[in-house]
Amino acid sequence: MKIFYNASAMQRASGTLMSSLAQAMQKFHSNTTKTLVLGVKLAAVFILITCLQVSAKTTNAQKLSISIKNGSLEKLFSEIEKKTTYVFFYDAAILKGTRPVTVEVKDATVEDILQTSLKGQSLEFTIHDRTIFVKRGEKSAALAPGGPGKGGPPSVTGVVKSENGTPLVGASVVIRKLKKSGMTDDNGEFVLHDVPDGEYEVEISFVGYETRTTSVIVENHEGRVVADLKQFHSQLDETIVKGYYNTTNRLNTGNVTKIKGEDIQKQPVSDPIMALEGRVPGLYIQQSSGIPGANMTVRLRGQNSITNGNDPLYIVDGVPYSSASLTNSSIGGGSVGKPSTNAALNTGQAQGGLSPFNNINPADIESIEVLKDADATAIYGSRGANGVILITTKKGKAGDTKFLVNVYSGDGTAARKMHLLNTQQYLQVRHQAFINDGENPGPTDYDINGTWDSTRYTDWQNVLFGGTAKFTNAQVSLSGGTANTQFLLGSGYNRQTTVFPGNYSDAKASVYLNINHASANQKFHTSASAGYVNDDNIIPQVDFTGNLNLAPDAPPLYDANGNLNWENGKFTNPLAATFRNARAKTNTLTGSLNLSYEIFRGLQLKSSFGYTKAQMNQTNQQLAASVYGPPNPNNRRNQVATSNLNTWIVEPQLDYSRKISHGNLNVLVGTTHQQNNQNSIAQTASGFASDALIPTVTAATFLSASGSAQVSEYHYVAFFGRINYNWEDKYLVNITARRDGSSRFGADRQFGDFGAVGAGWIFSKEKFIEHNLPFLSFGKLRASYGTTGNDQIGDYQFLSTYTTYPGTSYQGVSTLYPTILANPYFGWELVKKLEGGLELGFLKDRILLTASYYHNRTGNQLVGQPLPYTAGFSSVQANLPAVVQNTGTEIVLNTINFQTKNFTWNTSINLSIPRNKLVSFPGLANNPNYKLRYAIGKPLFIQPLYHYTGLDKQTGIYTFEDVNHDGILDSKDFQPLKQVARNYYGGIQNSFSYKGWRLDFLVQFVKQTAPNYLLNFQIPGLFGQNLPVAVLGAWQKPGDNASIEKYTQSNVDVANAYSNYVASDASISDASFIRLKNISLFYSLPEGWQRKMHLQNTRLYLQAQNLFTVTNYLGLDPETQGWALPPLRMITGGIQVGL
Amino acid sequence: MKTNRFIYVLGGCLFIIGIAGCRKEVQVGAPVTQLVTNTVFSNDNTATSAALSIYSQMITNNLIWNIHRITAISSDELTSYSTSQTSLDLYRNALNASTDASSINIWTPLYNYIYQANAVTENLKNSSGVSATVKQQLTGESIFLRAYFYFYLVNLYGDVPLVTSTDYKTNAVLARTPKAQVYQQIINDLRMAQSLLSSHYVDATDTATTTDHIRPTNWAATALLARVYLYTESYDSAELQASTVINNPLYQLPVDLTKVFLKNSSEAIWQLADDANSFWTGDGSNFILNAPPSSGISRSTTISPQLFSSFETGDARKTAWINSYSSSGNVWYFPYKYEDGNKATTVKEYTMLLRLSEQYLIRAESRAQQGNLAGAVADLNSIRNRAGLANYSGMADKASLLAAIAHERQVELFTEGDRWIDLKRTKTIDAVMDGPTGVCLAKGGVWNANKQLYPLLPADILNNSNLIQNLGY
Repeated sequence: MKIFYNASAMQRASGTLMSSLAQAMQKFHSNTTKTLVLGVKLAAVFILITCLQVSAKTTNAQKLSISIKNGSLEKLFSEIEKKTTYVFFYDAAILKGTRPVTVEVKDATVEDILQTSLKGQSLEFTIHDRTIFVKRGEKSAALAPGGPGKGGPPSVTGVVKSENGTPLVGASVVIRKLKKSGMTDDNGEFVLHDVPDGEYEVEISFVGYETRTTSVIVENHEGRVVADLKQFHSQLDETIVKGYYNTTNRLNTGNVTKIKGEDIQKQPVSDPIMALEGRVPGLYIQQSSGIPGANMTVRLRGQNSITNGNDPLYIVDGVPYSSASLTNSSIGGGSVGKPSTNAALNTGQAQGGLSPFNNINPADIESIEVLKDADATAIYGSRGANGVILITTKKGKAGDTKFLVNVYSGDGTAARKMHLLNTQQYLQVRHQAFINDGENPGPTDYDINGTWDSTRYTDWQNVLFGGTAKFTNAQVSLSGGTANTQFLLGSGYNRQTTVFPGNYSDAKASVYLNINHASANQKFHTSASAGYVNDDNIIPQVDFTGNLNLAPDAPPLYDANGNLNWENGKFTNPLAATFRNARAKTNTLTGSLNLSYEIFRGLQLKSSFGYTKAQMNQTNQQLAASVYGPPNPNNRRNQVATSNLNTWIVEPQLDYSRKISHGNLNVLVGTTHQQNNQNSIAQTASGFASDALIPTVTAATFLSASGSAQVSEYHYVAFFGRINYNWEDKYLVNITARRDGSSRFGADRQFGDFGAVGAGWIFSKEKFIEHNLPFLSFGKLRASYGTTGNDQIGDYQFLSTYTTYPGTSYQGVSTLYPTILANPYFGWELVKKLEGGLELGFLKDRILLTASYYHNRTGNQLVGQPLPYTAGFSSVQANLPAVVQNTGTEIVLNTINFQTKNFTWNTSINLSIPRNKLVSFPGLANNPNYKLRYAIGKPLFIQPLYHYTGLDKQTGIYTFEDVNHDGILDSKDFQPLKQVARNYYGGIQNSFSYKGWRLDFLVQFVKQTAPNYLLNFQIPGLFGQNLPVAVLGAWQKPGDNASIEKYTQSNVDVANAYSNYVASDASISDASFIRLKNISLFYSLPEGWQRKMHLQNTRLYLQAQNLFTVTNYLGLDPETQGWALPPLRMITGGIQVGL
Repeated sequence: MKTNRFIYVLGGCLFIIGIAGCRKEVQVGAPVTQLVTNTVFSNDNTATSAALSIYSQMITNNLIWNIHRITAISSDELTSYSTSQTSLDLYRNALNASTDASSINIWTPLYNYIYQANAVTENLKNSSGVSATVKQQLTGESIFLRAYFYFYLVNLYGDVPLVTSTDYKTNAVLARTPKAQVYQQIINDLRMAQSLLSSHYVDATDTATTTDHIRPTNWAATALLARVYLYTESYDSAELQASTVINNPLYQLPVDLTKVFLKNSSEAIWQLADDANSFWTGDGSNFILNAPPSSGISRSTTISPQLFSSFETGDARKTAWINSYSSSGNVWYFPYKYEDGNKATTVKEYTMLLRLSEQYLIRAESRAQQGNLAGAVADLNSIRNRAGLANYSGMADKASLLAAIAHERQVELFTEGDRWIDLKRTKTIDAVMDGPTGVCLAKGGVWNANKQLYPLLPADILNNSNLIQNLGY
């Protein structure tokens, strides 16, 4: 058997690469005829696909003139190929025995010519785009008496589709046993003739898809195969969502990192953003705490804005999702703190409040795309400055109705604890302090004056946060549908308790629904998704971790009766906090609808509609028992708050594609109309007659507003566009632009223009590369430059407004005073992003290396510009031409280390090396708010602090550099010597699979500096305060060569030196860590068993998060830092069953 | 498919709306928890709320007591026991710009109030919703207030930037305006205020008459103008303006000294209503001692020996307006013009800003300066007699009479913010403060003539290169 293909036609249509690729394949398979045939066939199919892609957009029928006398069909076909852009596709064997034809036509269509020529030849043809398929006339076969089916000639029929239900045209179908092969037609249908009854293995293959082998039983001359093929996992050809349009890694002109849903779902976490840690180059995520629901600080490529928001823009299914915590900023969220809009990573204070992303069910996520450079983000205009994170939820898939149950549960413990003094060491420190001070313990020194049992030892870390958190997760889903309509229904439940004493938990229940529909003619498509998440978060009002410094000989927390032990009021019992709870109930509804209609070939009108509603009810309750003494109504408190956020968005778009010359042009234009409404109000009630009345706020004797009510409205409108031109998949240009208007700015500054140009050159497609560097399977150089803006400031700031004066009224009238000095002329911060990237693939893309360098400069910084008081106010919000620069290198290396039938091993490494610099800041020296904070030419993360110069051997007191030699240590002696920042960070992921087993693990590494334990611990020697073991070995007598200051409990000089020490560069130290972030082991039940039990996708698994950490950090945890609960080490096991 | 067409049409419409409606779409409604300035000045009620706010802030920030205290301890009226650095420096006349300028807390609030007064004036000018009478009264009050604040600024700081608009770009680079020019602006403002302000006291409706003397009237403008003319040595004008006030039968000197500082006293030309919830005045709660003087700021002062000894024998003011607290053999005297400290349970007193007796003393001095010595003596005696003292019996020459009037101001207007600026105005400050018998040495300091002006805020000088610090700082 031989396959015919026409090289010249193919070259015309697909360029030289295809032919050489085909040649290469031919060489590769030349050892046996069989494989040659297959190889050539594959190449042909590949070419076909390329042709389809290239010509898919051409619409008008071509007319031609041909003159052939008694020529073979082969000759006719080649004539047609020469004169048109059509390509023929057929099995050469079928031309055997056909009669010659004579064609003499002028201005005839190809269809007419072929219809005439093939008449009576028992051949038929179909035209699919630019390809003409010629095959044996099946109609005649089908119409023949006793055709396929009972009594007819035996045959196997079937249909081949892709996973998403679209028919695959030109897929090859082989029954090796019979040496029979065929190809699918326009509808994905195929027929293999002359197959005797029996059971056969059928091999189905298609370029870009995984080959599939299935069995078919032919009975009574009839067999039917229905197969769907999985898209081939070459990372380069994966679809990348870029917001308003899609592309692939291969053709992307920008920098986008995609994280697949399965990688998120492999991690036992309830917040999907947390699952991105260590996986995305350029993205640094810092958990604020291991308390369930706690917020994170997310920075993509550093800090652009000096004072305003640095959060990326989050989009869920096209709808902007607020990254601001719903937690009320006046009453806060208890131990997760108060939300801060611009908590910088460099302050050691992470973003507080409950994470808004805790209200997205990780199980509903199909993928998360992180858009970084100008090319990818400029289409988001004034909101794209800090990057864009696109969350795409799962969609239903065609096929049999599938029911999937996935359940796992496990235990979590605090990932790290500190090495603290035991009782003996603690008492030694205390005694030494009294010796140093020349004093004797007083009546309140209970720890050493005999009041407390000096033999008692408690590791308070075990008591306070040494518990085990239970994690339970259950998800069910039902999906299926036909080629035109698919659906997915899902529901999930997730509950996580805490490691604290007391009954705390975060429980989340969710429902998700997706429906897709396409009209029969495939012109109209619609997709609708809706999700609802209910979260009930009950946590303590204070983080118990903050009491880890309790003296190791401190009294027991409960008395003999099981009540809290207060030592008659002489002891502050940390467990009093178990009577102070913070509860937040959040309801989040998200909905989106996408409609598209193909007006004519190549032109689509689309529109997306989205709505998000998030609502939180908080109640922070304090019972009387939380305070020592008889129950006092005034100790019963309840803070309540309600917060609401509504967002709706409408985005009509027009998308037009057509082929121009050798390239494809794609043009997209659209508009955005968005509106956010937000409100929040909080009250504090106290004075309840009983604990039972606390939830009833009206029963309080004292009720007052907490903070002022927040009501705000945000309108946003934009016009955006994109022009993309792809010349033979070799030269790529992508131009994006957006003009947008935001209600956060004054009338003259509402509109801004942003844009970017991205270009790519796939040089591996150049002949000279192909010839000289055959090992290079892919090579692309790309670059982009453009602008984006940042409008993350509060609403209404440009408006001249009056606020109610909180002081006294006058003549019975409550009065109004000017809120701020209004400046209607400030505009967005502007980021200019430049990026260059090199992407290489070796050994047939088994090794993929991407290196990117970015250089971003943010100017027009919105800061409070200081004013002399004579202007009435001390500052005005204005654009300052200060420039912050973020540069960095990001490297990603993906390798397929082993790939055999049963065993594969893949590795993925990412590394980010970020750098930050304040390039200019006019008037910094005179700016009272910033002059001590920042320095030109230094990163924003510098910490101006005293420079620690060692311990005075004679006095045992810390010394510091007196920079100006004035004998006084004050802020004039601060030096910007150290910074709190990351030098580099990244992750290493390995995946192994062996038959049904799959093992994945991710190691996160971070090289950074951060505030150490000095930030939280007081001077060694004080009453009741335990200390890290690092303080042992302090100075005792003149001449001692110690590094720790002498202990004291009363010496003012020593204490002052200690507080200077805390404010010195000694308090910043290495906080680098390597963490086994995630490990997962899956075992899929063998296909055979599953089939017998009528199951599918059934697997058992173990997953673990934060399993171990390697660090030299002088403190609790190098990520959460300070005394926040460290991230949890979570180990879970689960089962997934599909029906 | 009909649905398709529907979608097509719908999408097309949205497209058109999208392109056409941009500019309108990004207009948001007014914030709910704040009032847009245009809205504030679109009706009488909220415009009044904005205008009255300055009085509220003057009370909450304790501006008047602050002026009374700092000028009293800078001069020779009060002995300060405060250990706060700024109080010590004020008391010893040894202020330091970098540490004290901002904690004196005059410059910052006054310029903020001036901004607000300018904002009220400007916004009312452009407003169409506020009724004409309300607009006139509120504009008059704002202009009057601006003059009042500038009076203290020039007297405490010398030349000061003259801010007459709300444009921060202009205001942020203003240099200091010569004192004479500032005075001219004050006079212009008060002249205008006279023509705008109502001649009766208004309530919160800005039109209806009320018994409370807590809003400026054209009488208040006239009284302040009399003072300003005196300070600028336009004695004929000062006399004329003072006479206008004195001749108004509405104002009488109460015979009973303890009735002078009561709310709506017949002597009151302009008072501030203190916080309706706390019942006492700033002076009352911060001057009255019920314990030994504190080392803090509130209740840290006593009547100075200089002031105490300056009362003539039989002066009823020494007993009516001064009280004492004794403890373990020590006696501390304190100002008692306001008798209600923080134990009060009803509002009996309002903080006095302009009162009739000052007008008599202004006229007395103006008449003396113009040679009308008999007239001057008559006015002087009005004040002396009320204090239980006999008619003036000193030398009848102009200089002696002026000295007598100055002395009368010292004992009549003590701790009302006059003494310190009177000493400077009459150029007697060096004589009083300096030298081995001077007040400054007695207070533990060394007199430096430069210190009669307070320092400007160093931050303001940093942020406005056109500003120059006072000499000696």
